[in-house]
Amino acid sequence: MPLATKRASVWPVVAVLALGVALPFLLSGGFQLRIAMLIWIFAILSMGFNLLYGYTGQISMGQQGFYAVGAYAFALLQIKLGLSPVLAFAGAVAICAVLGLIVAYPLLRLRTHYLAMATLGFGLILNGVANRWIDFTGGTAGLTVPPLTWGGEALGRTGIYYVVLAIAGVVFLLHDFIARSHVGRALQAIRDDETAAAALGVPVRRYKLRIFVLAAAIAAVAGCCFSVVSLRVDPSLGEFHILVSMLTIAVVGGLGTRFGPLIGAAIVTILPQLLLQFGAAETLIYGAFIVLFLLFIPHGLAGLVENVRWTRKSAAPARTAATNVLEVKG
Amino acid sequence: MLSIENLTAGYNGSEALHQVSVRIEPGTIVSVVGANGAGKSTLVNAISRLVTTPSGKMTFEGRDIMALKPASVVELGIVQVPEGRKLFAPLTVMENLRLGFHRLAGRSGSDKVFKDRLDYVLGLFPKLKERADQRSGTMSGGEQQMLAVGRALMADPKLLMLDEPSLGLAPMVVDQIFDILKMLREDGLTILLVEQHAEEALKLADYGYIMAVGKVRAEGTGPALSKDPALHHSYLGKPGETAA
Repeated sequence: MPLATKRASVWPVVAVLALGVALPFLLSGGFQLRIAMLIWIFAILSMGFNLLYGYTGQISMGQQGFYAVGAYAFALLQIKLGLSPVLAFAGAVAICAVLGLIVAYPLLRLRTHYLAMATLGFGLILNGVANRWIDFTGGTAGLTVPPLTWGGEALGRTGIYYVVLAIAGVVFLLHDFIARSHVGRALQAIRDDETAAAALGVPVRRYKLRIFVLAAAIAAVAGCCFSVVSLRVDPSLGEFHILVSMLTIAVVGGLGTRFGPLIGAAIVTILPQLLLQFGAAETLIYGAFIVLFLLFIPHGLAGLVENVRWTRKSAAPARTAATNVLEVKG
Repeated sequence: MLSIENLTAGYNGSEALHQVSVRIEPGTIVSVVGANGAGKSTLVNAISRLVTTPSGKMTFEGRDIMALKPASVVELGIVQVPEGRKLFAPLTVMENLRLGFHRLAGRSGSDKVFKDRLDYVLGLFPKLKERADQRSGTMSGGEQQMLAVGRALMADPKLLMLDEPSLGLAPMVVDQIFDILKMLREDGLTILLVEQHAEEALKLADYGYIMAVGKVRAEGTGPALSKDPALHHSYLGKPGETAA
């Protein structure tokens, strides 16, 4: 292949999505299908986080807030305004995008842990609102989300799975397109050195703003999907454990990689189910697993896969945010 | 092509350039030399709009660039090779070159333009082709400098600014870089070269400026400045020495 046209292929993404289409025929029982849906939902959420932190280096600890706002907006637009699920979905995503813009405009002047703390504060505010504005949000009890219907009938579990898969597929393709395009490289340049990126003509602030808004919108998409699957939204969606899950997915899957969010989401969703048999030791084993990952596979599983390819063929190991931290600053 | 008049510039309120005036004519190499702290890098960063410029005037091809953002300056065709190269170490050589093409990416017919620019750059630096898939952070200093120049050339600049391209490189590699600059001038490119290696930079230049403590202290044709012992003694050290 000529040097100039050598680019990463989209076919692995298509293959994964094809596997997703076949999954309901391979799984036995509704519980497994629900796990599969949760994997896609966490993959969506983590793809936004990956674009924001993994590719652009902007650490936001308020993504769970956008996730919760998306879920609540999806429910409330249907309950209070009587909108159809499609319009409620579009409205919820738009609301989060605007909210993301409002938050990003002042906060993106901050960097590193200052940005992390400021966005964490935003997440805590939203969680407080969800808990205490009882008339609007239902308080700790939350809200019941109307089920998706098709031809007047409530959609079955398999139908809901394909709705979630279709949405996840669109987000996955968008995430992959950005990662492989000149925009993705520009984002990585911002992550590595903002001044050098600016010197090459990358409009740093504009890109940071856009990617923050996009990540907020993607979190809203994940929140809507969760509402559709669980038929319930409550303040736990905006709590710290969602952020911890995202960070764990990033560690396990690999930050700044094309497939890290999906691989990480699959492991972080399935592993706790497998560890249930260990009873009280479950948390201990899960924690040890994460520590071992950090010690031995710091670039995540997606990074590991790319490194294997590197040792066989080329001199370019996986380029991840972790690589950057380890080698540029080290 | 580029005209700077009475420019002041600085960082966080402290002034590093004081009333500096510089002119660059098309198709020439202009060298700005001086010791550490002379304000050379600040001048380059001021042109790139990476530092604040409280007063003065800068025009490029007749257009005022004082109010532009860094990306808009690059859009006009002013591209710099930063001091210390500032490659994106985790990215491969090819990805760094693609980033250099950011100015032209997304335009109609950009694939063809990209291929042409890539052929041109790899023609100048054949080693980059061999290292296309190698992470840039793992290359030698000389190779990294070649990549930094190649990355800037991918943008098809009208004015190429190089900030200390010889920094930390062996003399033989510096000679190679300077030979490339001569070839680029023959191709019609306008170059602003900022250097501590005063003698070599002035010999190469059509016109030169000597800076000290944020001000232009002398200017003239490159060869004339390089042969002026008084200037060397006052601002750059003895002839033949590199300014410290």
